[in-house]
Amino acid sequence: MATILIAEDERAINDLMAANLRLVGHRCDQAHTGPEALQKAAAANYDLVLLDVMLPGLDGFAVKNRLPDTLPVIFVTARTNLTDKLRGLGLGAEDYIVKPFEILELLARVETVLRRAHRGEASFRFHDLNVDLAARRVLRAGREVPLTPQEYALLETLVVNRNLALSRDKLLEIAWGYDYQGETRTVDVHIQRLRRKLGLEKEIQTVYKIGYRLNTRGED
Amino acid sequence: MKRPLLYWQKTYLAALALFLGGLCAGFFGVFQFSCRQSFAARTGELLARQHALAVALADDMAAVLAARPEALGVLWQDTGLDARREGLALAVWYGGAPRYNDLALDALPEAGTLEAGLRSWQVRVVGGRHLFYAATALAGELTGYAVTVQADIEDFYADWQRTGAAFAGAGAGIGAVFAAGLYAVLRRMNRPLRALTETARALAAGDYDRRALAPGAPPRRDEVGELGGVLDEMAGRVQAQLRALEAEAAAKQRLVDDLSHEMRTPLTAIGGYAEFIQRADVRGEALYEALETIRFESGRLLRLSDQLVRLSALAHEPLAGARVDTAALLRRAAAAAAPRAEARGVTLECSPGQAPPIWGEAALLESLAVNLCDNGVKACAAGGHVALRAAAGPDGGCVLTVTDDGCGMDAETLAHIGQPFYRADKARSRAEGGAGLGVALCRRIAAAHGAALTYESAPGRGTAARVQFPPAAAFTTLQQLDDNPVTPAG
Repeated sequence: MATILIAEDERAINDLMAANLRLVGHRCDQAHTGPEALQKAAAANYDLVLLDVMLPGLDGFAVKNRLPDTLPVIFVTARTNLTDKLRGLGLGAEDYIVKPFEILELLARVETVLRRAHRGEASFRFHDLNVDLAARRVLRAGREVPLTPQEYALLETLVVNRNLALSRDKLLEIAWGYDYQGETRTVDVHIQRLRRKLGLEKEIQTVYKIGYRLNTRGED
Repeated sequence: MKRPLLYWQKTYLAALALFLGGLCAGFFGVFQFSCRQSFAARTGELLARQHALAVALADDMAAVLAARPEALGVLWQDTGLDARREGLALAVWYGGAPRYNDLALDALPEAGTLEAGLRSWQVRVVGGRHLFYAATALAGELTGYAVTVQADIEDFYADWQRTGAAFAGAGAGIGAVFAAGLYAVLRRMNRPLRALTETARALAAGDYDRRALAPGAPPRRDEVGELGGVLDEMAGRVQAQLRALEAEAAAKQRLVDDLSHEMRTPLTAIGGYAEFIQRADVRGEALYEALETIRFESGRLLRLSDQLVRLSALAHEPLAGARVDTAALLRRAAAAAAPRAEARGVTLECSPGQAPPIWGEAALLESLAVNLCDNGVKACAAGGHVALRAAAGPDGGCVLTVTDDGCGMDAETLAHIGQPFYRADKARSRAEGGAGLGVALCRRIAAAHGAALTYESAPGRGTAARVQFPPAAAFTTLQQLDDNPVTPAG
């Protein structure tokens, strides 16, 4: 759970990014111009800034130059221009993402950057569960739940991307690795096991036509 | 390995050949002529002497024959010795056989066959020397006798040989001097040509700043200078053309970049929200907002697409011209823009007046007027005024004006207005679904009608947009835009 500042002048996209980041547990503030972004960044401590390159008032690169070096930045832009990309990365930006992007891709990159800067979440508490992301184990009502490494990997994927539906292929890709050649059936099997072992039959939802979702917001 | 001759080398060889040829011909001619003249003079002189001697001898022989014939031999000897003293040698033939012979030859066959009273002469080489012979056949009572005189003219030949050598030497010397001098001169004169070639080569290689004439240097006034001047002119044109092309290419690239950006943004929103709805458990108000955003952004893309198509069509299709009633046009435009003006609380006023008609396409013109009105309305806050007017211009053509008392534009915005996708206030314009093509489109429509769209504006003091159409008399053929589909205006 990190605090993220989103600086993007297109309201719809700004709202979209905020909604998604909040879904997976981050806190978000929004700015729509360069000066506003600087103002907010000076007033609060953020773990990450998502910076649109073409901001009115002061462009993304200029804003980055005025932010402290220790504050991680991910540039967001519609420009596919390679030189801009290199410039962005050369300026010390953690990453560079091009619109249009997939939500999961954005979330994964945010996650990576936060981990690199050691600002990722250490543990996730939910119902009677405590998922210790650092130690890679789960406690249920204080007692450790025995999970195989693969089961844990799947649980971690669901937790990190919580409230968003992930396809079986995506789950395979993230939790089993790109090289895995097996069938998606194994995802179903593992999901069943997690539901049983953790008592999350209602929370790990099957989403029509898409895949599985860990619902932590309690609505039904 | 044969290399083709260079131009200056050809010139050199040709000039040298001509000169040397002329020199040789001249020298040779002069030499020959002089030689012949001299020879004629010498032989003339010798013949005269021979003649005198022959006549004197003939007289003496006649006298001796009459008195003491046996003394002929002595006469001949005496005469021969006299002749010797004068540098001549004597011979007397009778009937083809020599009676007295002091010559270097034993026989002179011509002497026997001469007719009486005639003379013949020749030159022979005897013992390495040139000898002159003149023979006269005596006539009258001395018929049968022939008197031959020999003179050594080797000296003549020796002299002329020396003279010839001198001529040759002089000719060679002059020729050599000329050859060297001409070479130097031509090489020197070739230099400006080589410089020009270098300049041209540099231009061909892409250095378009190069010029034949160095800055500050006085121009040459000959053919080389002329060539250099023309070359510079050409270089200047090429450079200007290239710059124009580069600017055009840059503008096109900017347009493509901007277009790409304009499209990616709504697409990102649409795709993003659709994905969001699929993956997340979105309900109630959040769901409504997401779907509304999708709708709105789709609309924006559609408007963008329409405008682009129209911009492109304007570039390629000729105008179907007709007489358009300006008053009716204004009323229609005002009616179309009224709802949006009302929604903002802006008053839209329309005064057609006595404006002359416009020649063109009514639909496009209406689009133009509505667009300008809409922009004026957008610039105003609630309570603002927009006025749509038409009047006769100074040259009789119609002038359409749309004035507003809204926020106005600063100098920077004024400079860019009409550039596709340029927006003064991006956030607000996008919020209203604008794509930034409105003014570009207006410019195109105006241009297609032979009119110019100009803006006057100051921040805080409103804006006046003016379209001045050409007078009806100027419409014999309608102008068609150039072939570039969507280029930024201005």
